[in-house]
Parts: sequence; C-alpha cells; structure tokens
Amino acid sequence: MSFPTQRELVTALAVLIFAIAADGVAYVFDKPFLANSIYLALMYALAGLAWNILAGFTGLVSFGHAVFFGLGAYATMIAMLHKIPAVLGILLAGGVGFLAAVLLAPIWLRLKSHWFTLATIATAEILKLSFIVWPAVGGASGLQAPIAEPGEELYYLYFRGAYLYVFIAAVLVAIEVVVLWSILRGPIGYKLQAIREDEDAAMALAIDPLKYKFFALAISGFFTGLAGSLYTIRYRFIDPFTVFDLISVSTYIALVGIVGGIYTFLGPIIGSFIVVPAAEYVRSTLMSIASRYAALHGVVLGAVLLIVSLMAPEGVVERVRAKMVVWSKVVKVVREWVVERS
Amino acid sequence: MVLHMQRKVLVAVAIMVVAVVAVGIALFLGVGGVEERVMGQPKVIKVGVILPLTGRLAETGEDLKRGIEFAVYQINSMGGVKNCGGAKIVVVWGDSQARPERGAAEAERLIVEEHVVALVGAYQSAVTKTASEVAERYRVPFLNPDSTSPTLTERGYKWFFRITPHDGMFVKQQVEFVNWLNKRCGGCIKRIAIIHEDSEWGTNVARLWEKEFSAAGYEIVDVISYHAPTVTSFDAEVERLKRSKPDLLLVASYVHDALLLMKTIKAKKLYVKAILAQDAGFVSPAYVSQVGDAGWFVFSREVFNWDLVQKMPRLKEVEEEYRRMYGVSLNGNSARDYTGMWVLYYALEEACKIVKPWEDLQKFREALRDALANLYIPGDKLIMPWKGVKFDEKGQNILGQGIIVQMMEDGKYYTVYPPEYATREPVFPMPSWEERSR
Repeated sequence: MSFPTQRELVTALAVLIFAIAADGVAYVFDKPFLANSIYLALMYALAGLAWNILAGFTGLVSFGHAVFFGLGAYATMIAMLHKIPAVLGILLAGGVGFLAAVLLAPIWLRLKSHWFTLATIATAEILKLSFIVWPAVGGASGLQAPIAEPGEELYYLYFRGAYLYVFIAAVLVAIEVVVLWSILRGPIGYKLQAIREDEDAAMALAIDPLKYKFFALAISGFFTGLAGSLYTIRYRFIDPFTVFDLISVSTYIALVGIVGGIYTFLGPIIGSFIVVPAAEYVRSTLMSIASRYAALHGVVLGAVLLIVSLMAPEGVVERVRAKMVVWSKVVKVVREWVVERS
Repeated sequence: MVLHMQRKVLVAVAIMVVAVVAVGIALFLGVGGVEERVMGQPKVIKVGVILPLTGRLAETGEDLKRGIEFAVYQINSMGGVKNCGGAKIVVVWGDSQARPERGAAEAERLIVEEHVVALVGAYQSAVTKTASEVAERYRVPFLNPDSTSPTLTERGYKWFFRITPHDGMFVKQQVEFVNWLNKRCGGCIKRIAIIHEDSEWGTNVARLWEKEFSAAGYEIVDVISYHAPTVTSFDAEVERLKRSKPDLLLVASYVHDALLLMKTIKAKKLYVKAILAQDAGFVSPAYVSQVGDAGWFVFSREVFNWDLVQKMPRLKEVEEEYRRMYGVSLNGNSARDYTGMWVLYYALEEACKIVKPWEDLQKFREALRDALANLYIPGDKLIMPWKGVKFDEKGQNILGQGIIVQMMEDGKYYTVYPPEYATREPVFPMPSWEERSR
C-alpha cells in the first residue's frame, strides 16, 4: 500500500507554483503557446488526479471519464449562455459531474475490472451520440459562447490568452490536491486501498466496499466535471466530438495518470506536466522545422510513451523515488565517510 | 476532514497562496497593458494560415496548403504587395490537427508570437469557430476561404470574413438543380434518401437537405448517418438504401468513407437515378484517382472545376502553371484557398495605402479589416465561377455560388450546371449497372 506523503503534497504544490511562475514568464515574454500548454497540463492534471482516486487507489480503471468532463463542459457552457456568471458555471460543472457519478454508480459499481472499464467507455460513447442528435444542446454543431461585452470580462471569465486561465486552473488543482491528499491519508484512504487489494478481505474487516467505491466515484466525478468547465471557459466552443472524445479526453486523462504513476498520489500531475507540454512542443517544433514531416509528431510521442512503459512501467514518480532512495544512500555513505575522515 | 499537516506543510501552503494571489493580481492588472511588439522585419508581411496539416484530415490539409503556397508564390513573383514597397507575403503555418482547441492555440501563437497581420483558414467549421473567436478577441482579421457552416456568419463578428458560399446557399442551389433535372425527365425524381457523416458539417448539411428538399415537395424516405473516422463497412447502410428505393441519393462524406461507400454501392449494385454529393471527399484528388468506375455519373456540388478553363480564360494560365508545379489539377479545396489568398492580397494593397504593418501592427490590422469590409472584386479577376467578392455586414461573400459537376466515363468531373458554365450535358438518369458492364 502507498499513502500520499507530505513530500508529495509539497511537490504537488511546488509544481503549481512553478506552473504559475512559468505562466508569468510566458505573459511577460508574450508566449501564449507556453501558457496554453501549461493550461492544458493543469486541466489534464485536474482530471487525472480525479481519475486516479478511482484507478490508482480504488482499483476501478475508467476509460470513460469523458462522461464527467463532457457534462461539466456542457454545464458551464449552458450556464454562460443563460448569462450566469462563469464562476458559478464552474461550480455547476462540478455539481453536474458529481450528480452524473451518483446516477451512474448503481450501474458502474455492479461491475469489476475490465467490465467496469468497458461500461465507462460505453457510457461516454452513448452520451456523445445522444448529444449529437439532441438539438437543445446544439446537436452536432455544438455550442459557442458569445463574445463578452467590455466590462463583462470577469463575469464571463473572458480574457486574452491562457495567462489568467492558468491562475484559475491552478487554484482548482490546488484545492483538489489538498482535499484528495487529506482524504487519502486518512482512514478512507486505507479502506479504498484495502478494497483495491482484496475486496473480500476488506469486507471481512467490516469495510463496506460499495459505500467507499461510491464515495470515490462521486468525488472523481466532481473534480472531472470541474476539468470540463476549464475547457469551456477557455475555448468557448464545445461540441460532442471534442468533449466526449475517447482519445483526447478519456484516454488522455488515463494516460497522464499511467505515465506519472498510477499508485502514487503525485503521478497524474507529474504525468500531465510531462505528456501535455511534450506533445505540444514536439508538434510545433516539427511543424516549424519540417512541416512536411509534421505528421511524425504522433510517432515521436508514441515512441516516448513506449519507452516510458518499458523503462518505467511503475510510472515516472515511482521511478524517480527509487532513484532518490539510491541517491540518499549514496549521500549517506559519502557523509559517513566524510565524518569518519574528519 | 482531518488535516494531518505539519508546520512545514502549512508554510508551503501559505507561500503557495501568497504566490498565487500575487501573480494573479499582477496578471490581472497587466491585462492588455503590454503593447504587442512588432518584430517582423521590413519588406515582409506575415500571414498566419491554420489548416489540418496532420491528423485525420491531413490529406485535405495538404491540398489546401498547396493552394495557399501557389497563390503566395504568384503574388510574390509579381512583385509582392506594391503599396507596401513590394513587401513579400510570408506564410506562417499553424496545424490544427483537426481539433478545435488546437486551432485556438495555434491562432493565439500566430497572432502573439508570430505577429501575423491576419489569419486564414481553417477548413473544418468547428476549428474555424474557435480560431476565429481568438482572432475576434485579439482584433485580427480572419479570412475564411473554405468552411461552409452557415452558423459561422451568424455570430455578429466584426473581424470575420468568409469568401466561400455556405451550405445554406449551396443547398438552395442544389434544389434548383434537382428541379432543373426533374424537368428533363418529366418529374421522375420523387423519393430522396440522405447518407451523411456525423460531424458538424455532415449533420448540418443533412438537416438543410431535409428541410429544403421537403419544402420543395420531395419525399425524404431515409436519412442515414455514420461516423467517418471509424467506419469500416457500408454493407448494412447500402442494403437499407436498397429497401427504401430512393430516386435520388444525397451524400455528404469525407475522403475514405466516400471511396468505401461508392465501392459498396457498386459491389451491391444499388441503383438510383442520380447520386448528388456535397463535394468534400468526392472532389479530393485521392478519391478521384482511386474510385474508378464506381464513381462514374455521380453528381457533386462543387465550387470549382478544371473544365471551367474553357469558359474562363483567366483560369487557364493559372491552372497550367499549377499543374506544372505540383503535377495535379486545382480542385475545389485548393482553388478556394488560392482565391482566399488573392482576396487577402487585394485587401492588403488597400490597407498598405493607410499604414504599413511594420509601423503599427494593430493599426494595420484595423485598416485591413476595413479594407476587407469595403472590398469589391469583380468576377473576371477570380478563378472561381462567381460574380465576384463582396462581403455583407455579417462577413459573408454575397456574390459567390456553387456549380454542379458530374464524373464522366474518363474518370473526370465535368461542369453540367449552371448552364452558362456547363461543358457537358448531364448523363441522367444514370445508366443501370447492367448497361455499364457492357
């Protein structure tokens, strides 16, 4: 079993401070592309952390988190179209994600392992297809928020570039980090992991698996809904193909968790800050040095992911931690040696 | 919730909160405060072009890119933008990967980091929506040569200009065309079936078709949608069409699905009196070179066709040079983006009279916007079968129109409608599969 350490909490918050600092640099030097990459990394980190409380800590691997992401995105968009302040729209997205999780729990939580995974994918696809043919939410054309009038920028969170949005995203991730960290360190964290390791044994210890799975799912839905709202407030146009997408939403959310390290608290944040900017920069660099071969960016990224899977199947965070153990031993030996000599 | 936090952690959190608040305030106060620096060297005018250069629409993107490159090559070899001292146009490419959020990020990068005077693109309507939204926010002209969703010009944007006719205009013209065909066979078209890919474009086209054709008194007997990125077989769809027995089949498809659909129709010998496609996949070079006789006699709505050279002398030279450079003919996609670049060029000449981009970039963008809004280009200056280019207050070119082409037995499309541009009489009704195998 692994529990979130204080070092992980400090590292997570340090990453966020670093993100905001990098955002400030991007702003001063007019680098919207950098700011956008940071924003996307935060968005996926938000969803990835939420995903990991299910996948990593409870053992329920979802490839359908687009359900909560998409519903959250739509909730915020519809709120904005009804002239509701965007901040409330973001909260509403969390609420809708939470509600969706509560409603889906009776179906999803009946299923285990790969059956659970399949159910999540199926649900996301069902929602996508339903939204395509549902005129009230814009159907296949999607919805676009109008341009905010001067003076309404804060009301609708309407800014140029990603700079201020990074700030909003960082605050949401910070809240999530503190909340999830304290939950997972407490008794609930023990119980969730007990369920993940052996559900029957956990029941024998008078842990009600359903109750705790339900709790994990609901909180996961809440924060993933918030991630969806981040998509809406920034890009201001959504359609079912984008926000319910199996690859760029569901799989990507899982991917950042897997690359970073699924059984670690920190994993999704680190994974997100590795995968997302890498993908963005590989693509734009290839584009500018050899636009004919730009399509190779997928190949490069795929190769990097394969290498990570082979070299660090336990995730980057575990790998680094293992290295740090070795390193601290080296330091210890050197120190003892120095002490002896002096 | 019990927080088991030690002092170290609390201090870290406190530092974090302070940092977050400080940077946030700094950012907020700084909004719009920093003037964009003009870094473009003199004698160069940078234009940002956003296209799906990689991803599932890469093939179409390549085609569109050629059209842009060729126009820029011609403009620059004719002496560049003369009112700006012969400044050369330089294209900075942005790859949308066929995804809306990537399109928006690229638009931002091109505007702020590359200091482009205007944006051109982005083919898919969903990407054009997010990219042009960014342009509107930064007050940069967005010229759209190739997206046909009617909603794009219904948003009240002031910096958005579209030269191509939109799907609403095309569909009205298609109804006129079918009426015209129907007169030739004494009203033999009554039942219509629709098959379309399910992205925003295909779905919207299908909805417009349903609306306009039923309003014109036709019976819509079936509407079938499919998901283009994952479709691997049309067997079930074609069987269903065999049962619903339409006289006319309307198709909205991208490249690979169009090929697969036509090959399935041939294999299953589905017979309809006419098939009318909504360009896109049906006019792409990959489709035309691979479809073979499965694509004969199919009508497609088009914006452009190679045989227009016989009717439009100006087009002849352009087409010959293009063929020499790229070894392929212009098509509806490359010709529209080619035209887009030329329209931008005419507006650039006007804007350069007022201010130069390297003197004051934002003023130049405003001048360019005004130039576009007041632009009039007569039809004889274009290589498109249009009456010209003139934008209404929504930014829509009101002088554009489509044409209808038909693939003949030599595997080439010929213009059959409107009559003033027609080089062939339409083959209608289609010969049956038995007649064709003879």
